Amino acid sequence: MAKTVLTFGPQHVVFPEPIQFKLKVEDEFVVGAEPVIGYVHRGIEKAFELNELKKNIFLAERICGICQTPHSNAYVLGVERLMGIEAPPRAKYIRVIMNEMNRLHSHMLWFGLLGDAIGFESYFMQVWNYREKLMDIIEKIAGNRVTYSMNAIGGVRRDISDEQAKEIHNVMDFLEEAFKSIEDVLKDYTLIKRTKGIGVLTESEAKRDGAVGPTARASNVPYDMRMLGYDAYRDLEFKPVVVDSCDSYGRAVVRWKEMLQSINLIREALSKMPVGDIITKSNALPKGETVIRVEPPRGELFYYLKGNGTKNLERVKVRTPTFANIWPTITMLSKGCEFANVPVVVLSIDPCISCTER
Amino acid sequence: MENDINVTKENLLQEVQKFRDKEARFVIATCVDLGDKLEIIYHFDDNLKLINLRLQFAPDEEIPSIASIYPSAALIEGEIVDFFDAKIAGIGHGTLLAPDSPKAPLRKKKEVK
Repeated sequence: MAKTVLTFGPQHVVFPEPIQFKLKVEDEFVVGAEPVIGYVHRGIEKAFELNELKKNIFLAERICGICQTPHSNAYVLGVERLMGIEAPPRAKYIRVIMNEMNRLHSHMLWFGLLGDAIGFESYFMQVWNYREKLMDIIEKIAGNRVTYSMNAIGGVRRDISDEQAKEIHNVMDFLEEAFKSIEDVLKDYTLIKRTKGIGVLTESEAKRDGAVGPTARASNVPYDMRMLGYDAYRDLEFKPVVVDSCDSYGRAVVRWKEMLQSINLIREALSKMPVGDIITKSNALPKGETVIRVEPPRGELFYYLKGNGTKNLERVKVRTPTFANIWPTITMLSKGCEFANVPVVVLSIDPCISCTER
Repeated sequence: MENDINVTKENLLQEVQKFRDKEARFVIATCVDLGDKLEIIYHFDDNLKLINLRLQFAPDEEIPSIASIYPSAALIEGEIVDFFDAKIAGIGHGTLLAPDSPKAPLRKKKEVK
């Protein structure tokens, strides 16, 4: 059978952002794939060197429009380490609450997109409608529903009041009930047919290719940077969600379980959150180098920071989760994936291209 | 940083293979401009422990690619070639930057066109 090269993307209905895969196909089956990136590169690592320390917090948040809070979280953690300061305990809990609300809204967004990709239009709108409740409470706390700007060097910029804490509890109760409909969809024949056994990534392939986040955890690899215990995670009950089905369905199951886990983490953080300051002031300037790793919704986020004792950093390197998950996707596609399943397989890693290219 | 190991271009692949043999995960490589030299730090995760291999080399010196051991490294090596104009065997320009983009934008003391 002669091989044909088909280009998938950069513009495709299933991609909210541009990326291209050059697919080698034999008949209906993909036997090789090559990623083509660079359509939305913005030179952000260079901009980190040119901006001052505080401005970089807002720059970090703009690397990704969905998981912005883990980006600023990683950045401020790195700067704090280089300055030799630590956020107050209450600020650490607020960071965890914002991170977990971010994970919840991101996973709900993904479930909506999955519904859209396989033709479940009303389900897509239903999930995004539930998500609005969460976005509303985020807006009440942060003043903004998309880019929160909660993190600051040495702590957070805004506190969570008792009244807001009660509202968060109410939203968590609502979402817990609402997620039952997502569980129902996971038992649906069509969804199972479109995702089970599709886009297989074995445990050894996930390790070799450096998969992260739900993509790795659905392949029985328990990588989750929350286990490092940054911010207040070390004080909370946490165990990574792991599934051994190694397919697109498993990635959906991991995200569904993680949403329930996030609700529990938020409740626990609210109940344990101590009273006190929310920021540690310091005039120190960062010197030396450090690596910070945190866990946004899509997987491990890596920041390398090098300071030279001035208000500008010498070097900032950012590796986002989707960057790490591109090669595992190539592996999934190249094993004889049916051409019609390519959109679902690519969607199963929850790709975010703008943050991948920075 | 903690857990740093200095390597040379001669023993780089041998050291990287040791991580592959124990199923450590290749996290990413970071390139830093040290002025007269470039430094690539290869970061590996071994059961949540981050280990860094540091390789310093002259900017015009060719170094081996680790993509033969960790295929996923090809992407970041392509990015390093684009951003720093490093010479990595078998890796060309064009991963993230278009042909008419500024050359080596993350190099210090070099005019960016």
